Amino acid sequence: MPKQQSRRAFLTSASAAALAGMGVGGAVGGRLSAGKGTPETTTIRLKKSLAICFAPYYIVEDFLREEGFKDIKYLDSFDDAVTKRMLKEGELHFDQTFAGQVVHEIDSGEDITALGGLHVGCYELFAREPIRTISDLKGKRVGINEMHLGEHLYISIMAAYVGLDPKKDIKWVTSKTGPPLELFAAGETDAFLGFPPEPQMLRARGHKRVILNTVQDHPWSQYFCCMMYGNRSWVRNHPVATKKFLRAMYRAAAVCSSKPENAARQLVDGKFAERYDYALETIKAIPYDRWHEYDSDDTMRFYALRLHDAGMLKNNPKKILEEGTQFSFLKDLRQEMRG
Amino acid sequence: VPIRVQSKMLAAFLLIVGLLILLGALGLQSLREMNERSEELNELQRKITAYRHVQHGTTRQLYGVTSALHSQDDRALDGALRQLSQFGYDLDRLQHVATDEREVLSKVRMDYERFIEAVSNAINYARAGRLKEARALQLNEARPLADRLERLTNKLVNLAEADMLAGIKKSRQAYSNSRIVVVGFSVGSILLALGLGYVFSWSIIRPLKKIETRLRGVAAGEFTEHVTVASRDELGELAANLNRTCDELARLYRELEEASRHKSQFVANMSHELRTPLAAMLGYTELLLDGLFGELPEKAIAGLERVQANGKHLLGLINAVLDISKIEAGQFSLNLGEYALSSLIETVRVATESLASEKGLGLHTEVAPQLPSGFGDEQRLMQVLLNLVGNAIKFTDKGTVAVTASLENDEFAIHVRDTGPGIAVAQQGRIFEEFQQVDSTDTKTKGGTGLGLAISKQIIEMHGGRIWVESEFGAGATFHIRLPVRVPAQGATT
Repeated sequence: MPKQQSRRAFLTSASAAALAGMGVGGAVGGRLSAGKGTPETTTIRLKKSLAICFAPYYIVEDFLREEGFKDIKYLDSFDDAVTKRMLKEGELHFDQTFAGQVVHEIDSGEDITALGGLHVGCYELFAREPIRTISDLKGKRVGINEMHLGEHLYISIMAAYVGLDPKKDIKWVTSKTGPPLELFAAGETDAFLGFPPEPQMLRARGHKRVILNTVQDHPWSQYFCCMMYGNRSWVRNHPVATKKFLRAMYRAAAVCSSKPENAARQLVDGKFAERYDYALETIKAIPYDRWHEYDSDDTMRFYALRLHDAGMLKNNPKKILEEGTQFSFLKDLRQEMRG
Repeated sequence: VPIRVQSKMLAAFLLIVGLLILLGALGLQSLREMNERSEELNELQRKITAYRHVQHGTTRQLYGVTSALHSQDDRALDGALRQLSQFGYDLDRLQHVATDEREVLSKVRMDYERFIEAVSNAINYARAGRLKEARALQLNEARPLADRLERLTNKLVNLAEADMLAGIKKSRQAYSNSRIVVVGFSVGSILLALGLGYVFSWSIIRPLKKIETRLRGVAAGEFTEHVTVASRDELGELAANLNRTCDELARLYRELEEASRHKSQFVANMSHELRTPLAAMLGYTELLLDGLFGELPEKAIAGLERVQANGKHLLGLINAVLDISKIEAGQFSLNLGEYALSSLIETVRVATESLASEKGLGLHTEVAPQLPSGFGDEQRLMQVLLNLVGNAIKFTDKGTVAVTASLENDEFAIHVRDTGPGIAVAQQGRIFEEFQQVDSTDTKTKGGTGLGLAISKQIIEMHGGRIWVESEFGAGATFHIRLPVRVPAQGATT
């Protein structure tokens, strides 16, 4: 009977293998171990949600310990307003969400700093007949959770990209009427932008008509989908800790890519996902190992431009990039992990 | 140093012209900035077009190679290789237009070379019949490189778009600033022009109005006041000259008044001195005619009666001249007291009845009953009525002379109406002036001093009343008097 590996040993070896596989480094122990220096704080607070595509976030704990963090906690926050408040008050240190939403929040004056993209596309746009393209959404009912959050922003961007006016041309149906997924399944909306595990759930119920997949379809597939960000003052005051957090996250992403089954199991065990099959499907579909190929800076610029096109941005994209991003950690990590 | 009005106006116009020049300069500056922004945006548009060319080239390449590998046709493979050269041309174009994006361009160039190598190798494998290796190369190397090239060119496009947005924002800001400046300057210029216009017009009109008011005073005989104009320009000089003119006129007026007073005094004295011997002459004539010195022959009586008549006429003239001179000298005053208008009119009737009878005229009086008693100078009022009735009898050859009196609006309304020749409208205004008479044969033959109506007018006005005439030539005349029942004591002086 083979000797059972400890979880930490597994993760270390898995991330080493993954990084070697994606060609970003001679994956030997020394290079994958914690970065130099000790973090300014050993306490870190992350957010718990049920979005499976945040998988690296949920398996990052051991890597964070390797980086020197000791007090690691996941806070339950399924409400964006609560998350904003927790971030503002320093109760929550890092979070991740759709890059367009990060841009929008920076533009709205939230004290956050974008740190780096985690992975490309995870959204799938389900639509009923006769909708075949984004342009066909004109005059149709689209289900979203809330205005000015992820799905609303993303669909608005997509609509404006093909010349629609998202404010006038689309009938938005928010979750006040009911859960967007249920509304779509019941035929009360015409389109729905799903976020794992929602696409898997819809497919399980027989809804398989996807008109856009942001993992595969251009131009969305050419940019990061989810962007990590942190409390601005916390990031400014804890540069070493921030960099170590990012390093841990990318190491966790490498594990998701190299050992998706283990990562999926860990999500279910940690109560971050309810179903193993959905978690595995998602983790396998998302190319977590290609974060180094994509440009976080250009992702933020792209979404800022698109939000501007949609009339949903007050500030200049350049200003948002200058004031709301800190990609120097990412640049360093890219070189270090490559080297 | 006095500043002339001309200089002030010139300075104001120069200021406005200066502002307009400044406004023009700012407008030109704004146009220049907008032109620069427009050129920048054009440049960015050229860049974006070049980036898109590269993107399309990459996609076309990938598609061409995939098709060529699939068909294994030599011509298709040659075409794919030729397109590689074309792609290089697009890349050169990119380097030409995007000189400021060296870092990204060097990555594009590097990936492009790797992409060319991968595609060339794939084609070579295909030519050698090693299709499996060719497809593997195309799938594992060429496609990811094409993806990477797309992302890099996307980045270039996004950078250019962001620059374009910033440029548009700058352009809008520049336009907004220009608009604020131009509108501000325009409004400022208008306000300044209006302000200067107001100040200048008032600096001219106010002194002019003062001068005009002063001239009106001068026209009314008021020479004592001075006009004050603070400015030392032409208007200031005009005001100073006007003040000097007023001073001179005042001096001349005082001298004239003095001379007039001396003349009136002289006339009054002379009239008084003439009246004394004349009274004696008339007295003795009366005595002679009364036979106090014995019976006189008929011829002597006729001569004495002529002397008496002419003497009385002369005495009337002297009295009238004396009254006028007193009026002019300011020495004419009323002797106020209670009087009954009905009695006054009756006295006049009695005094003039014989004259009317002699001419065969009817003399009628009609006084409204229960008239209140008046307060005024009874003797002077009687003088007025005697004058009016006497004139009426004198100038009326047939018909009647009527005197009526009533109370209207707390005033006595007295009318003296005759059936004489009437007075032409043109002469009605003049007959109340001194030494003025109706210009007719009658006045020449019937005599008169031309002072009676002037004195009557003065007396009535001293009582606070009015006198005027209504007449049609050839249809008689009516003299109207409106007389306050009670004369205010303070008004009874000249």
